[in-house]
Amino acid sequence: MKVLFLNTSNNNLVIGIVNSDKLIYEEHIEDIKEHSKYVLLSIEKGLEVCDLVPFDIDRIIVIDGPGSFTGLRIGITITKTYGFALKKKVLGVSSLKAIALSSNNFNYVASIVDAKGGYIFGAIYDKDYNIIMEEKCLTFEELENEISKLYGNVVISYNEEFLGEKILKKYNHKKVKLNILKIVNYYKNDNSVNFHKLNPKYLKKSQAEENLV
Amino acid sequence: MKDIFIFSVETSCDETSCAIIKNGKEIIGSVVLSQIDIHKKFGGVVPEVASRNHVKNITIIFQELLEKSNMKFEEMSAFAVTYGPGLTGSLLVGIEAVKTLSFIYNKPLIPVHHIAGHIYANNLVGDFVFPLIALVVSGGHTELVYMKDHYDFKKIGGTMDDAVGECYDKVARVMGLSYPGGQKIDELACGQANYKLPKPLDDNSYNFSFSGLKSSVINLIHNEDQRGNSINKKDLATSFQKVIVDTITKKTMKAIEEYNVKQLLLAGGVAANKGLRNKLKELCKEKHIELLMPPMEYCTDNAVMIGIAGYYAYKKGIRGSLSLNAISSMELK
Repeated sequence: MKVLFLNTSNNNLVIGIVNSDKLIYEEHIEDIKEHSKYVLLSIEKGLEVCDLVPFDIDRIIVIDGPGSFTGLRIGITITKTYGFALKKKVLGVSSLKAIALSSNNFNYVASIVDAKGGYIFGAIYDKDYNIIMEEKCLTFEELENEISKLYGNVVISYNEEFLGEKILKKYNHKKVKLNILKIVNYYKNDNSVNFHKLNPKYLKKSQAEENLV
Repeated sequence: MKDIFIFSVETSCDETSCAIIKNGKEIIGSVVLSQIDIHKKFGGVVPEVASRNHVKNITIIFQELLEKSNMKFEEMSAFAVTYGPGLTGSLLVGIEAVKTLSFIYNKPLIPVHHIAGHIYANNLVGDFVFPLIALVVSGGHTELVYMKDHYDFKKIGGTMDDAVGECYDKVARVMGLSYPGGQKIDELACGQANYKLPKPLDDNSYNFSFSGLKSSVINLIHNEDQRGNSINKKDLATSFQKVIVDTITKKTMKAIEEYNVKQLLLAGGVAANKGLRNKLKELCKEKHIELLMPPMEYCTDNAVMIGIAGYYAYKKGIRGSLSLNAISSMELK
């Protein structure tokens, strides 16, 4: 079983290839501004290095949100098209859960992602990754309020720095690199979704839709 | 000669569309999913909403096209896509999908300029006779283009402010016509041209300027409104359309004469405007110029035109790489 892993949800582009529980390729490119210029080139390079052709991939796991709207659409569009064309299995997984899975040494982990405009996307999990707080778009103060209800070691995890030391200083916090093997293995037995139904999980309406209400 | 099949995708604005074109002439299949009803409630296209709908529907339209064309991706000679100008987020959905297909099947990727597509919609009704002039009129463009050969474009003039379609839509909104209002003005334009409106830029260049005209129509409506007078919508639409059509056709006919061409192509969304079509027909007949106009259904955005233009770009050796990005505004080259 060969799995292609893809994260285009933020400025840290991640491409990974897992073959029978072994990570055989990974590339993390930080500070990407225009994903479109890099993602397919990186996939091409990854397959080449592993001596694989596109058809050899059995399954694609892609981060489906929350995150950058444009970034998510790039990863999802590639995954849907790839899955549809070659009839491959596809699965979208949460950016917040992926960050939690990449974190260590905690009783609780609060994963956060930049939602712009003073907001964050956040979720809280316990050490067995059970959901303590559902994914939502909120302020950091609202997240602090949720964290204050917890007992034990709480770590705030993120994949991309955006809040700054000043805001986070009260907490045990860490920038994590996505642990591709752990994420892929965690979702090993999850059913794949129909590629037509794979869509970004934006968690936030567009400005125009907000204004309409 | 081996047949060339181009699989093309267009997502530059609010239509999600794909097509298969044989040898640059024959439509094997085409699917256009319009989002017009979704954007109506916003009074215009919302880029983020358009992008979300493109990604939602992209593989659904691919499947529909392959099924109705009874063809497979493997049979395609190349994959073509609009890479600009347009809404960046929307363009990216088509671009990433087509790059993925080009990568998977190891077939050429053909980047197509949106306006080249509009011009090539005319290939459905006749063969190009070079040199020729193309008049491009749409929501984003008002341009006169000179072509001395296939896929060889030289812009000889363009709009300095509002595009003609934009001007129509803005005036329509102030007149209280529902979105998209441009075509409603065309429908109403069967009255008397008795409102006095200023003449837009009327110089020796091939450039256009419609913002002054737009402002005076809007002012006129506001002033009449304040005086408590009602507007005769039919007559105002007729007056407005007459000024636009006269200005555009005058410069176009001048270009035809100066560049000594025998053929005129009409292209872009406003090519569906009956007032403009009729006036050009009349003038071209008088001057013995062959006039090509796209079938009505291919005047608006569609992937068929991208597949046709893509065929000529393919023949010319134009290729894109997997790093192809969206370009929101760029000149036709």
